[in-house]
Amino acid sequence: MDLSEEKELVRQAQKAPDVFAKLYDQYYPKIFGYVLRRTANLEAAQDITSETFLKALRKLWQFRWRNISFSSWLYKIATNEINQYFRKAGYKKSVSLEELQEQGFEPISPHDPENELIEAQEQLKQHHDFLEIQGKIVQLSAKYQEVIALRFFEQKQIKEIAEILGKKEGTIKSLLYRAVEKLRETD
Amino acid sequence: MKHEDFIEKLENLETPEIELRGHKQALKMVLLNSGRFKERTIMNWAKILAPITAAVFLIAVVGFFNVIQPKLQIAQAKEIAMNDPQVQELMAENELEITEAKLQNSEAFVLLTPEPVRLATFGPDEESPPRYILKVDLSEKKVSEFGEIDEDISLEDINPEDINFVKFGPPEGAAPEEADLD
Repeated sequence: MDLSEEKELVRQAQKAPDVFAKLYDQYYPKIFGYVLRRTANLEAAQDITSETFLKALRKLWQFRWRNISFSSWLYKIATNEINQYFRKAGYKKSVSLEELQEQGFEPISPHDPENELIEAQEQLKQHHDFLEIQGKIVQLSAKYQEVIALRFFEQKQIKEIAEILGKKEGTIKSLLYRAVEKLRETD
Repeated sequence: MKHEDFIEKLENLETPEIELRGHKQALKMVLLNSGRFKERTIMNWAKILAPITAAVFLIAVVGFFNVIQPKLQIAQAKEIAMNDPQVQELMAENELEITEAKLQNSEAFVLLTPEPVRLATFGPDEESPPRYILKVDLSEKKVSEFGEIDEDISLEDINPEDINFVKFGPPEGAAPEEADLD
């Protein structure tokens, strides 16, 4: 799908919940996975992913003026949310699923969230190597965390990372080199 | 470990691929039930109302040009006639009043008939009092021509083409057009 087709789809998604649902189904796993790999925290990953999609839905109309893919746009929002999460002790959400549920909204889901979370935490614990290196990555500054995660965990190309972070490709290459060096020093 | 080896280590790192289907489903429902799409419903209403508004606007425009504007032009024609010094003189001399006005083929016509008091005092053998039809130029805002009619007839029954119109002469004391003032 080229950019103009994607923009048309997003334009339709503003009006049609079913079109938005398709985009959501396509991108939710990627964004949730990215946030989880950045934070290694399932609760935070849920909150940040929720915030990312709520913001995306709220700002969907702005997307057509941005010359980036929808995927990059979502990664950009998620990256900003993750940085905010790391900056602040106690990530401030504009709205949470719990608050919406308190307002009377009851999502119908066949999955038991508590059991699912326990199972997911068990799965996460099994990734020892990842958790070890992730623990070192989060010690680096945000600019290094971003490039390492996008390049090695999300398998993004330099061009796409540049698009997500709004930087030049040369800058990304140099950041990536320095980030790897910093991380290697801690290894 | 060398830089390249470390990169290889990062590239081959097994990362968690965990899915929380309950969260995915719950968030999806929250997003789809959020006010965003309800606002779009309002937008849909706007889309429905837009053609209706356009139709009402069109009716108003058509109504203005077919009903209101002609009435305004008729009123304007009467006013122009009333304010014309030569018409005033004609009305005073013959005890006439403006009784009707109409628009025909983008021209305005005003009918001057004798006042009812004057008609009441007319003897049966007397010559019928004069009636005049005025042609009003709305763009120039002046009475351009006038014609005399014999019958007591409504303006609606008069075909202006049958009237022998005469141009109004210049007001008394005014220099004739293209007059040599030297």
